[in-house]
Amino acid sequence: MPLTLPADAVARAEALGIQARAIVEGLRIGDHRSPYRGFSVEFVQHREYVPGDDLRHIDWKVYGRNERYTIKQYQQETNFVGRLVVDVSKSMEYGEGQQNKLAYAKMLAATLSYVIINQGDACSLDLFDETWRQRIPPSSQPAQIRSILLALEAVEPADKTTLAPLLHELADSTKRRGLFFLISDCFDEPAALLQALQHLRYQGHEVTLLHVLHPDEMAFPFEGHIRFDGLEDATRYLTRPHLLRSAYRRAFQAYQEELRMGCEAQQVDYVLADTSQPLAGLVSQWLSRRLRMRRM
Amino acid sequence: MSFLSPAWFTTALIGLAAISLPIIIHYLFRSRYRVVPWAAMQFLKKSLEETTRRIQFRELLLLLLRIALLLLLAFALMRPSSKQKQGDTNSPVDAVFIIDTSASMAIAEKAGTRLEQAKQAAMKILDSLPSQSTIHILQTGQHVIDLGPASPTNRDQARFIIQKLEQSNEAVHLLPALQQAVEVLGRGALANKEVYLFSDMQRSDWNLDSADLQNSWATLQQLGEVILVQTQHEAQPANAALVNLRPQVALPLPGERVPFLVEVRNTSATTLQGLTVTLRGSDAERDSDTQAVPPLKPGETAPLTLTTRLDKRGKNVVTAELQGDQLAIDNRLDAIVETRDRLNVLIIDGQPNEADPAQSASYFLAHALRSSRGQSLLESTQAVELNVVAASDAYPAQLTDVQACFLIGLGTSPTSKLSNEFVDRLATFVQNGGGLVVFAGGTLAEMGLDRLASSAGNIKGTSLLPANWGTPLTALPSAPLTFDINSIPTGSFLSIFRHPPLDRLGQTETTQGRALTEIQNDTLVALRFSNGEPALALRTEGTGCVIMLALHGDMRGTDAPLRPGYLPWVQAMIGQMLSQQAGKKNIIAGDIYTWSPPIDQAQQRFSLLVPGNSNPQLLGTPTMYQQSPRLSTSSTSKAGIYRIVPEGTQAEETGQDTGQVDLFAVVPDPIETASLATLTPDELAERFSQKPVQLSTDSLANEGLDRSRVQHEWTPRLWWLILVLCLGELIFGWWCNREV
Repeated sequence: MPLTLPADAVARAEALGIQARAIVEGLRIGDHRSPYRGFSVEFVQHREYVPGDDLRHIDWKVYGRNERYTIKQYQQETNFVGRLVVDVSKSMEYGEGQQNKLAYAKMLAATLSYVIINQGDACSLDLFDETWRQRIPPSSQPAQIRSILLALEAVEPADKTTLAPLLHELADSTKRRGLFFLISDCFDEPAALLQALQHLRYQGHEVTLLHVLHPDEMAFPFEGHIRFDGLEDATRYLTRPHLLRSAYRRAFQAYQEELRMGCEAQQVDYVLADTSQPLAGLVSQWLSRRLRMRRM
Repeated sequence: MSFLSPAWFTTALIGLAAISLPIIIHYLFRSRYRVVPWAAMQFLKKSLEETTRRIQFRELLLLLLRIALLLLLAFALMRPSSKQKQGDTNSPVDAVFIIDTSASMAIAEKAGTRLEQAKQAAMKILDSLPSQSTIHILQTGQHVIDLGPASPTNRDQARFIIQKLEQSNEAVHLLPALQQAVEVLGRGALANKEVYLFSDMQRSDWNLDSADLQNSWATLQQLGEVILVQTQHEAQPANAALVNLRPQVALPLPGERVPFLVEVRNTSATTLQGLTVTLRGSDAERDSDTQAVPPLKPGETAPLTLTTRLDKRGKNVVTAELQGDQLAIDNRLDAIVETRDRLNVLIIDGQPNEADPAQSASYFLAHALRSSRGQSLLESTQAVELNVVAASDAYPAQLTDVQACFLIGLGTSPTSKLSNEFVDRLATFVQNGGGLVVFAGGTLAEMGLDRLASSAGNIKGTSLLPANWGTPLTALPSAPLTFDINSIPTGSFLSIFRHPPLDRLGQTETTQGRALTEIQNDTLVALRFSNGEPALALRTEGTGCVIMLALHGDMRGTDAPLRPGYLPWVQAMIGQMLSQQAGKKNIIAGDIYTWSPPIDQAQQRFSLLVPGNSNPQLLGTPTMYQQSPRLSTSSTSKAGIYRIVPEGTQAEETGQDTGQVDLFAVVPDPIETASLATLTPDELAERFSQKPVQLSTDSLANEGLDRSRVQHEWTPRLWWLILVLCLGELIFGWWCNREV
């Protein structure tokens, strides 16, 4: 039974669409700018004819004016490959019901994959924790949606997060420039993660970090005597959390600020996905902002 | 240190065990926790590393605070006391109540007079004493009166005694009371002893015998617990006191109007206005005289002259009353004034000169005594029988029926020495109430008076003279000695010379005389020279008195006989001698009164009628002393006119003078109201080496006796400390529970 897509989120995402802000490399003609000059409908420039060029592309009007063979070049429109990289480590297991981080990440990934494929672009899915748990190669076929949904449905958290090495590997292995959607709580070393994101950016990819966080992790609202059992390891701390709330918040905000500033420096789109916020709202806000930035 | 709780040891063990309570509670709470699976462990770990030490330090402090609180609680329940006690808190005590009934205790405060406050406080304390305690009540004034009760454990008797306590006009002498308390406590059989002193703690009372007082207090503090109960007092009352009532003439004549010197002193701290003084004589209606007192500054004394008629021959009652101040206890002075219609004076002249009487030593003195006119007896030649005798011709029989004897110009030549027989008779003369005035001359041996200075013929075995003659007194004519008028003590027989116009006596110039040395303890130096040397010394012996003067009686080395004040001065001396004879009819509250009834009444039983008390007080029969009957009483605590009457006669019921009645007047002790300032608790505590427990009648009336204070129990202070620590624990606990 595949994952059920959230109707309102999908509806809003479809209406806004996912547009590549940078130049992407596609395999077929699509809606997105391609780095390859071709012979499409949108004129880009003239250049002098060199032997070997197709005579069909000679602009005879220019020849009529200055008796020089000039080739007319056009911007080639292409489709993009949206790569969904989803964290399925044990740390994503925190939260109850719809505020569960993994569930939220799955719904977010499903929504994005549907919108991408539905607008004719290709989409891939990479699930990871310490290693790659499952990888679905890019495809723009409608059947890809089902594959992705099934994979998301089936996956269960198992191990701790090790994000940076996997992103480096991904950057090295992905030749075509495309869109990366990293959905994770990023409970890893921020410096290593930012370095990995820089690697992806260096490869020319457009990267969006969807930082999935539960409100408890930000506010730390606990009272009384509580024993905190680590989800990814066997660490346990018995404490009175209200005594260290301020210190916790300071540490967490410092980490979050480092991550956000690092993303800004790398021109990585940082999106805080608060699981207490409805998914539809998050998607519409994010995509609206993305659309506005593309037009600028 | 001791513990008053009977189960203090068990409490201590429980307290020690209770130390573990906060630790147990701490771990109990730690064992009851909720488990939360958590993802963001690295941030939790970081915040824990940052805060754990601070939290642990705070929790340690809080734990120590709570342990301290529990220990203090256990300590408070053990009821610690700083004093070593025998037995527990309910052990009986030997209690001595010393109650001050002096004149200052009559001052009315909001809560009643000070004595009423003291009585109420005594009742409260009496009720709070542990059962089987013994009680001893001492009333203190000039003397201490052991009031009992007869059965020391009988509280009803003690209550009755306290209720019946009455105000006196005496000054307080604490020392006898303390010595009595030491004796009573020494007799007590119980292990715990307490002494309560109920007083207004008047400053002047505590200055008397201060070193001895402190020693007595120290002894009492060693014997038991000393508790001072101070009456509540507000501002000092605006008080003026009548300090002197004395006839201005030496010998008042019966049926004549006699001028009296009345002195009013402001003893308060504010200027007093609107005071009036009324003098009443034989007929209170007809003979009264009222005069307004000029405004009196603090400490100022105003002399007033008021007149009244003395009808009776013999003893007359004269009463002066002051109106217009806030304290009534010292507003009345009674005096017994004796009128005479004849006076026998003997002058022994050491330098007689029949050829030229003006060269006699007694010339000016005799003229002064003979000078006449006026209303007084002294100024009536018919009334004065003057006998001037040369020293060599003096013999004992000449002293018969003589009231005053002057020795003048003695010791200047071999013939001016008195015979031993005469001197021996002179001693008897003085002891029987005669007045003797000795002017300067030679030495005592040269005068023949050295027998008076020895024990010969003296009932006390000591000198009858107030002083001895020293070296001759000399001063240059250019810098003669004068009298220091300010040296005259207030209330003395010369006090009239402190005020104009008689203060001109101070201008008397003296260049020769003989110094007065070896002044005896009971001698009054009534006048001094400007250089501070004594000029006139007076000593009383029974009803007689001896006056010694440091100047000659004639014109040798002094111009006194020519001064206008000479005659009044001589009159004053005679007046003093005669009043002394009448005198000892006027005593100060608390003094012992002695009366010699006629020999035919030696077997008669007598009663004393005390003013304001209709019940006669039995005095019994006189005791024989040197073949003369004597009756003494010390029940003179209240001011007024006292009567000694034969028991079982009508006079006992009516107090009327039937010829068998003796009268005497008791005046308030002026010391008591001379300064009404009281000691503050701090000043009081400073007078003790070991701080006594201090209570106030105010707190006793409102809250009763907190015996924990008496027993030096710390518990109330510990409870306060515990309360403060509890509040501190709450605040600190709240602060510890805040975010780090």
